[in-house]
Amino acid sequence: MIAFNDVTKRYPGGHEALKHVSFKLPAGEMAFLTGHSGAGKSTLLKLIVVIERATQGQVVVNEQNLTRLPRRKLPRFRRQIGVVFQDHKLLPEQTVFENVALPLVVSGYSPKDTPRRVRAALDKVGLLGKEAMFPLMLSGGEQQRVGIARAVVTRPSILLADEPTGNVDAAMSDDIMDLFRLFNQVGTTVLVATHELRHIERLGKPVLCLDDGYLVDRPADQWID
Amino acid sequence: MMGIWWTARRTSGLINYLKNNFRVFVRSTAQLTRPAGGAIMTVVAIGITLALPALLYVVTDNIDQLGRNWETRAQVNLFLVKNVENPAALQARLQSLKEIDRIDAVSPDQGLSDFKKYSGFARASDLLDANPLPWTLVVHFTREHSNIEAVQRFIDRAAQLPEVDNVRSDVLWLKRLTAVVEIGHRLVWVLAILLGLAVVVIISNTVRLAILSRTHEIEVIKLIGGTDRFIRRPFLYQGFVQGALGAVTAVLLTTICIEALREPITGLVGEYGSGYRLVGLSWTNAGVLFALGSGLGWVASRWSVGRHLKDIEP
Ligand SMILES: Nc1ncnc2c1ncn2[C@@H]1O[C@H](COP(=O)(O)OP(=O)(O)OP(=O)(O)O)[C@@H](O)[C@H]1O
Ligand SMILES: [Mg+2]
Repeated sequence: MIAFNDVTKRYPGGHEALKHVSFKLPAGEMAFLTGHSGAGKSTLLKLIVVIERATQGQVVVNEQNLTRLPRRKLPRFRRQIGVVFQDHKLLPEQTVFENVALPLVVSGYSPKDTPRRVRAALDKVGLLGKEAMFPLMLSGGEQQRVGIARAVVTRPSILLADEPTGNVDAAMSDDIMDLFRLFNQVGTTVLVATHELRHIERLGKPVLCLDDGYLVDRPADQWID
Repeated sequence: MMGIWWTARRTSGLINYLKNNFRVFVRSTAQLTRPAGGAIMTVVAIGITLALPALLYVVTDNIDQLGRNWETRAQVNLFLVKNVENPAALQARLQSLKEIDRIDAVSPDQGLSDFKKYSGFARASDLLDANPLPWTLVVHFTREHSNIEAVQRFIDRAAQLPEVDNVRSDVLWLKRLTAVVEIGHRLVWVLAILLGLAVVVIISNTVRLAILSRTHEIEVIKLIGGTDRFIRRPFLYQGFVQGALGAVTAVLLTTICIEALREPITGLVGEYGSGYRLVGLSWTNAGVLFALGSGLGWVASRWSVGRHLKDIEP
């Protein structure tokens, strides 16, 4: 469950990236987050993982009020959330296997289960057999899928993605979105920020549309060229 | 190549906890051998830095030993006035003092022939018309009274005697030696503190660089829920191991220096007639140095990690 209650985010310098945003995404639901460039999509996702904190209002995730979450509780909180970044954030010096296994290592999972879990995650994103390769040896789409495998390897209750189809072709883009729908079908709460209306129409999921920091209750297509 | 955090495992139970730490420890140590890290240079720099006070300590210690060696057989020479023909009476009087073990009387003739034999001025002394030397009493102290205070007291009293012209003793030399040892001891402390600080600076700086070179990794690990403890561990071990290896290097360097000096110093000291043996760094002191190096390494990396890790926020 993700709930925003009258959330405003003002960056140092005074720019308000989010203005009085309120919404609720129930557990197990999937939604798209859309809006023009600079509308505040990434900012909204950053508030959910506490990369940034709300200036006003409350963000509640899985019954935890993030406004009051102390710093030392962040690591345990973040383990409930899988995040797919637009720039992948893979570790270039580590193999695909090691990259995907990292959340397991960090969270202290049993090392005995690690290979099985990593292979299961890689299998879902269609990268089985590339465990020993390094991220830079992979295509952009493959790197993105390694990022997805890493995000889901611990079976988090929430999955966030920021422009996950940013630099892949249409077919790959569809595959990736289908993956998110698949994770949602097994009970994961999914929130995907995207520019591409095509996916929104194809998957028919609810849409949160941002315009200059305001959450607007209108059809998404009016707000994107 | 695997990351330094890779080896961490689930931490349930003490044995597993220790196993984990050992794995990360080994991994962090292995990272030190990466040529890019310049870590070997750091270890050598720490070694040299720690070797300086250690070497000074050993030198001071040796001078101190030398002084003690002297004290076990203190000796004072009394040169009598020229007109004393027979020193037996004075010799008997002094002999009764409790601090005196034995007194040898050296006649002017004996003195001159000794002078010829040992001084190398044999020919020059042939030019003399008469023997210029007086009777000399060589006073040997008992072992228990062979200390600066007792010898000084005796010298002061002997100088008052009418038969005594001049008193010569090593005691002044020994006093200076003691002062030098005292200065040496303090210098060791001052150097140890200053260079200890230098070691802290060196190690905290390499740890800072190591953290900076892993900023991206640290950010990603924080984003996927890695705790500060988890992130900190390999850097702490790195500082600890660098300090410890630096200390081992320092022990080696000190030992090499002492061994290189052994022959000339033994030769030099040997001329003063003692069977003196140069002492090197003892096992205890090597242990102290090791503890100091690894302790400083640990403190330095803790400090550095504490300062720089919190700056890295995803
Ligand atoms: N760290 C920051 N400091 C100051 N301003 C920021 C910061 N991050 C974002 N902003 C500003 O906040 C606004 C929203 O940024 P955000 O990244 O959330 O937009 P976005 O909807 O994700 O855009 P895009 O589609 O281009 O990724 C922008 O005007 C941006 O300049
Ligand atoms: Mg963005």
